[in-house]
Amino acid sequence: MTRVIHIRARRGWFGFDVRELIDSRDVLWMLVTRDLSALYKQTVLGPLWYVLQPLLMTVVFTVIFGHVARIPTDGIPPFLFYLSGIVFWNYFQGVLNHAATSFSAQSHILTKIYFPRWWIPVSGAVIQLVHFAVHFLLLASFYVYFAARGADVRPTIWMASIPLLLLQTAAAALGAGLLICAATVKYRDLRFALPFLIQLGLYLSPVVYPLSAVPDNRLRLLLSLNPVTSVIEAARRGITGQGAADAVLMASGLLVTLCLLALGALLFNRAQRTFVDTL
Amino acid sequence: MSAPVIECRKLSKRYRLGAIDRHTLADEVKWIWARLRGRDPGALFGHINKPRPPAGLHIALDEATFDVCPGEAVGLIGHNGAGKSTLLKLLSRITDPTSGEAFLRGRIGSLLEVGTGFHPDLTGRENIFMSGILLGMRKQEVKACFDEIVEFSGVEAFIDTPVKRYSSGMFVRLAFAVAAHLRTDILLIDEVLAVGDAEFQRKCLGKMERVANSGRTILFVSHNLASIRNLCSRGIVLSRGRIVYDGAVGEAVSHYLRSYTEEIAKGRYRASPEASSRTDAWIEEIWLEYQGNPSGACVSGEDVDLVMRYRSTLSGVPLHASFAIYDDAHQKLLQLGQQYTQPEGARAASEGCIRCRIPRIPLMAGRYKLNAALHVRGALVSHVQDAFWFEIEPGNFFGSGFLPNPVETRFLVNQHWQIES
Repeated sequence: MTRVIHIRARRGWFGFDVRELIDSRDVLWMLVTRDLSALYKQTVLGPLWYVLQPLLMTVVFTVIFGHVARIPTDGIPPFLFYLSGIVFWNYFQGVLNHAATSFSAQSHILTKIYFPRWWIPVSGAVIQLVHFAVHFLLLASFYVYFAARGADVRPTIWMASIPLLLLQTAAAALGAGLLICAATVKYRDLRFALPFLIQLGLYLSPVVYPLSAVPDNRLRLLLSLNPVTSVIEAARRGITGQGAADAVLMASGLLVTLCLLALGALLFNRAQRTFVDTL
Repeated sequence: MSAPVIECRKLSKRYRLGAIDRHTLADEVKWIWARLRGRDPGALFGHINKPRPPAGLHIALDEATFDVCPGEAVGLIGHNGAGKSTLLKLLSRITDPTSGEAFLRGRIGSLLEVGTGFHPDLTGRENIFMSGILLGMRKQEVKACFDEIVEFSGVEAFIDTPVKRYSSGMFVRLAFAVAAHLRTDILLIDEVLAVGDAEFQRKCLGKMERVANSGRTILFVSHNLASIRNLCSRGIVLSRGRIVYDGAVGEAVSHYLRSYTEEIAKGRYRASPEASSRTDAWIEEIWLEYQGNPSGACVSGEDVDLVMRYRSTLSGVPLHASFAIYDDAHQKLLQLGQQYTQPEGARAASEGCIRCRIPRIPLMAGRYKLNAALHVRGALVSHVQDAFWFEIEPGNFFGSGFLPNPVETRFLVNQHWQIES
């Protein structure tokens, strides 16, 4: 039996065609392959940059925040401390950025062809996962190096949660990204604010400081609401045995993530129907 | 008689014009701040102590109702802005209609552009997959007809070369080859045959004819009336968003050609009384002046004035007028905009005229068409498509009595020749 497509002005917040999404799953494969193979076909520096970027950032953070500002690192070797934060933060901001620019970055395709728009932000989460794998390998190598040199790093059971932490990071980043993407349809100047918002997010996450070093209780509570906080603290606790991760922090991070994802998805669902008219 | 594969019921699309709205976060903040201080926020946006008038609407498609049966090839005919592309966009689900509904029975493939989804850095082989999947094929299906696609395109030798190294002809051939192999029940095609060389165009038309004969349904937009007549058995004529004729393709084409000259007056446009009085500013009248008098014709190489009379509910805000001149094949030739030479624009009054003088109009003799637009603070508020026709009579542009052959050029440019030994 052929499927009947019903075209109409869709209203309301819900309405979500799961079957259509499954039928078009090859689009996800296509978007991911397209992005990755285009990246690795560029100059040598293209892929190399993805390895160099977290390393250079870690070196800079180690010098500035470790040696000059002397921010404590929970007893973790500063290099490892910053690198672990950066690896997870990079995944978060990569997915967020991809989702937030879903419409503008792909406008030439979106105005000419229909496919479920959800695949664009979702493909970002998959593409960034590949970059994350590279970064994580980097982190693992340095981890082994520091452990062999006798640094005080002990893996704990929290390490097993890393896949789940990654899932949470993707969900939070998608939620925030979809939210910004939908808002950009109405407020176009938001896209200029995006790089700044991401920069701000870096300092509101425990990348360059541990949560335990935040002196004020209320401030610490506020930072705990940032879903990335729980991810980074839990990951650090997983690989080094240090960190402020506990059940309360994890629960609040998860709750905020789910709320963010639900809100972002609802707004995106509404915006995707006619955003083409405003491009 | 089987059930129609496409059923359109009062399908409409309206766009909001009059972009005086809070389109940026910065504007929104200003608006809220003004309200917090008890000021009238409207003043900020150029409205004088009165509520913001509702934005004007541009009706791109107005209650289109029609059925298409399986195996029919239907040509959509109409001039620029008549709603053909809007209709295809709605049916291909790129955007939602404003009202009305449509039912499509079967798989749809839409081809609104050649080469959608192609990435310049990827090879021809990779791009076949990228584009095929984006057009709605499964990966397996692309694999199954991969060799056929490559053969049809005729770029076998370069299939592993990045497409950025392709000539534009090769690019178009490969892109169309992918689309031609779509196994869909309904094919929506927009003006894609305008590209490519004549031989390839024939090949594509032949392929599409076979598609139509194989029982699949085609909805086809083209400005090329000959290819519509060849390919389609039925024609739907659209004018200003409405379906004005639906029937045999020969009748449709002649209806279109008739309406074409009747619908647009020569040398003058007047807004209908109800037109766009809902926007902040709108075009009331446009006319052409030659030697100081309104006219439907002018002479190549002599001064011509285009005059726009507007009305507005705003005062003091900058207005910019613009005109575009098209030839009778809908090809845009000139874009004239106040913003280029007079960036400060005109100060809006409740009524006024904006005049654009074209010294020694540099166009060859022929029939031309005018579009006009009015902008408030850079945002489009009023737009007239096909305002009027006008003729340019042959003139003495160079003062020598000689002119180039009309097949060779459409423009005349001042030139100075010197003989140097």
